[in-house]
Amino acid sequence: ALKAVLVDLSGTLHIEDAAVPGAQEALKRLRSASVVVRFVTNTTKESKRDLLERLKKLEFDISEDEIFTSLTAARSLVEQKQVRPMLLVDDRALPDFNGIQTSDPNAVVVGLAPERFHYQILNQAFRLLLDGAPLIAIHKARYYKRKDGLALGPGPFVTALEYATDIKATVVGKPEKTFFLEALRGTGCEPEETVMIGDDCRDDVGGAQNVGMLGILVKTGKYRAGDEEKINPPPYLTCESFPHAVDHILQHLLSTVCESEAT
Amino acid sequence: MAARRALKAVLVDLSGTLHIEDAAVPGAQEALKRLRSASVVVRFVTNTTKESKRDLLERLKKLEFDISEDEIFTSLTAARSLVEQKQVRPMLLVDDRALPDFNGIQTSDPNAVVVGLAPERFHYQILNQAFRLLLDGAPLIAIHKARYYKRKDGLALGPGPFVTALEYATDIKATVVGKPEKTFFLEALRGTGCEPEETVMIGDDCRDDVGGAQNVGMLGILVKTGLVGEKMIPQPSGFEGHLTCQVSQPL
Repeated sequence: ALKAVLVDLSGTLHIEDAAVPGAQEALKRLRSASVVVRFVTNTTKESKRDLLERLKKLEFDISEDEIFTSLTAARSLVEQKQVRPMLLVDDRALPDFNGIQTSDPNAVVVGLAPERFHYQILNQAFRLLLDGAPLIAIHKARYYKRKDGLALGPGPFVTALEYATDIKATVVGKPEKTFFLEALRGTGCEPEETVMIGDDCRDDVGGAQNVGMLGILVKTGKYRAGDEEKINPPPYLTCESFPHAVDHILQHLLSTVCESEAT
Repeated sequence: MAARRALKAVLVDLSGTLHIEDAAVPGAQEALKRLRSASVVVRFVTNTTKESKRDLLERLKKLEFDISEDEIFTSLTAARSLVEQKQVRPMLLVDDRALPDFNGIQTSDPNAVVVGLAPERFHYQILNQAFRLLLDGAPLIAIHKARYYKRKDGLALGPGPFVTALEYATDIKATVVGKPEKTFFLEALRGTGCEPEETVMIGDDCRDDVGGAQNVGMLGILVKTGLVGEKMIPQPSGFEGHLTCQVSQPL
């Protein structure tokens, strides 16, 4: 039986500063079912508080502890490993690491941090890694879109440190398995009892299905025709938008009768 | 195996072969004189990203080696050579001290990227500019891809990680011009009228000097000198059985 639903944010619940039509009501309907809901996203420069504010402005009824980001995943890993990280992250991401000790670091966490990506700081990180510090990457995006054009993402700098030290980073964001497993931590739900709804076929749906969840691909956001053919196995379901996904869940996945997984 | 052709050129590595830091290898100056008495072209070859030919020449003259500037061929020379051949205008991510080796090369409105060891240029804004040039189709030329190097205060990132970063970001491959790349050795012979099969390379680095040279058809002589750590210790002797009787005065 379905116990948990993971929902991607950007492109699925909202597009920039506009909600996907009908999404707020669909979320209310989803909550009327007895499922745990988590909102999941890759980000390296927005703290949970920032995300919450944006969603509240769009009249989504969400609480902060339902939000799970790649920054949360990084913090989680740092706590599990009991390390003190050197944080190469944007200042705006620092609130998500409140309470984590960062003096005398013995780990390196890399997010999107242009103001920290210069030789001296990268060299400090390099030396920590040579001493055995683990390298944690929020994600490895090659580049991203800014107002003034494309700009280097965190991926190239993580790769630079991997090349210099001959070690591999642990990547914590989507589509990594650990991201999805961590999102369920504390919910009491297993991957097999979970559905993930997102607009990115590879990172949202593919990643979730790789850990045993069902994936629903929505045709909003960055979706492009034919995306559903890019992963194997294909998405459990491809549908128009988040409200349609919720309808499907309420109609087909909450039955108390034991259902085999449709593929 | 075909008979070897007559020897016409000798390539000599600098650091570790002719000299160790600021001391000449004992007897090397005289050996060089004897080599010159034979009718061979001599070239001095080295990977460097922050010493111009003038700097290298000065150091060698201080150690009483009789060398002229146009006999020196470095990875910077190789990069310049490639830039000229491709007829591009490079964005030069190189140390200031290396700039003299690019005198006369146009660098405004760049359409190529050259990366050496340039700590003061390895920061986000400049790397982003390079990234955008590469996205526009500019070729990426790497002086070499060393992971790190030794400084007084410890190990420090080399140019390799930054070249790799740009390769990853753009999904293109850099052309590496330094040893042990084939192009380095072929370029070193440019203008000498000599073929690789008529050339011997002498060096202390088995993979970068001897291996690289033999990969293009030269003979390689591995010398048992070279700096490891703080002391000069012998390296294991390699496949040195490639001397021919045409070599008149081995160092």
